[in-house]
Amino acid sequence: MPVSSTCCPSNRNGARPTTAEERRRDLVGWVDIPIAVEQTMAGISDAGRRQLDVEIYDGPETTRAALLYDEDGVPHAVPDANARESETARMFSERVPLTIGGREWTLWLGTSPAFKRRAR
Amino acid sequence: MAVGGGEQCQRPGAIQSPQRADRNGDPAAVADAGLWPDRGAGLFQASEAVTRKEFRSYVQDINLQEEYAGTLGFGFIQRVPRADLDAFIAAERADDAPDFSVRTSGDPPELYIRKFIEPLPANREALGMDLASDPVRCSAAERAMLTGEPTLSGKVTLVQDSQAHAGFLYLLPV
Repeated sequence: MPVSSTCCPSNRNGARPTTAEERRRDLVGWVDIPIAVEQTMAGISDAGRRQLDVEIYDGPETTRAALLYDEDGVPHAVPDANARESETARMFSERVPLTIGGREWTLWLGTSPAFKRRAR
Repeated sequence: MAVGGGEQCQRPGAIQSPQRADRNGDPAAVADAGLWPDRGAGLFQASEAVTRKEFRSYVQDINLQEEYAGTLGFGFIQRVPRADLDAFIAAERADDAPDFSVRTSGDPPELYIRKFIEPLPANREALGMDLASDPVRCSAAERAMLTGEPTLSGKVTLVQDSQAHAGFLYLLPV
């Protein structure tokens, strides 16, 4: 399978546009890949699944509406005074801001109850 | 450089301009290195008009879903001036898609129409969708166009996912 060294938006004549206006003028369209987050994560998170809980939010706010992925079905990073198991119940947790493809995501990582039991 | 959706997207979201200094470790930079199939861009540069059959054969060759977990398909979005819409639909119907129709709303000057998506049986709902009709998809398309960078959309419910799980689009400007 061929692998190129640089990404290659270029116009119909093969010349590379250099400004936003040139790009707007020359664009033909977009290659489009729809991605289902849950299926993507199922392929990569098995190793740490028992010790680590993972949540991914679209944007800087950790709200239910922004939730892209939740490992255990309980969104710990969503602010909710009545949550039975809030972020603070986790032994260790961390929010990691990411920028991916121009998009800000917030990754929340927390140690699982299984981790806490083993740590004692 | 701050770029906005302008008149094209109905409710443009905040669009971040690329910072070259931040590119280390950015998966979009990995995409630039060829991990993602920017070969798709090559397909469209190689020949002026790609037919539905050529596109299908290309997607079968790259085995996308086996290589990248969670990718539901591989498509192409074409930019279509509103005045050309009827001619565009007629051309698609003539190119092996007799039932081709466009789902759109609003009246932006251009439509961003999903012209191809393969494998088709699992993605039929997504074919003919106008991305300019949806603010989240539209602003991602605009960012990709104006920056020339691979771009992720915000959270969307993918129309081809019957269980309505969260997803996003990866858009590569061509």
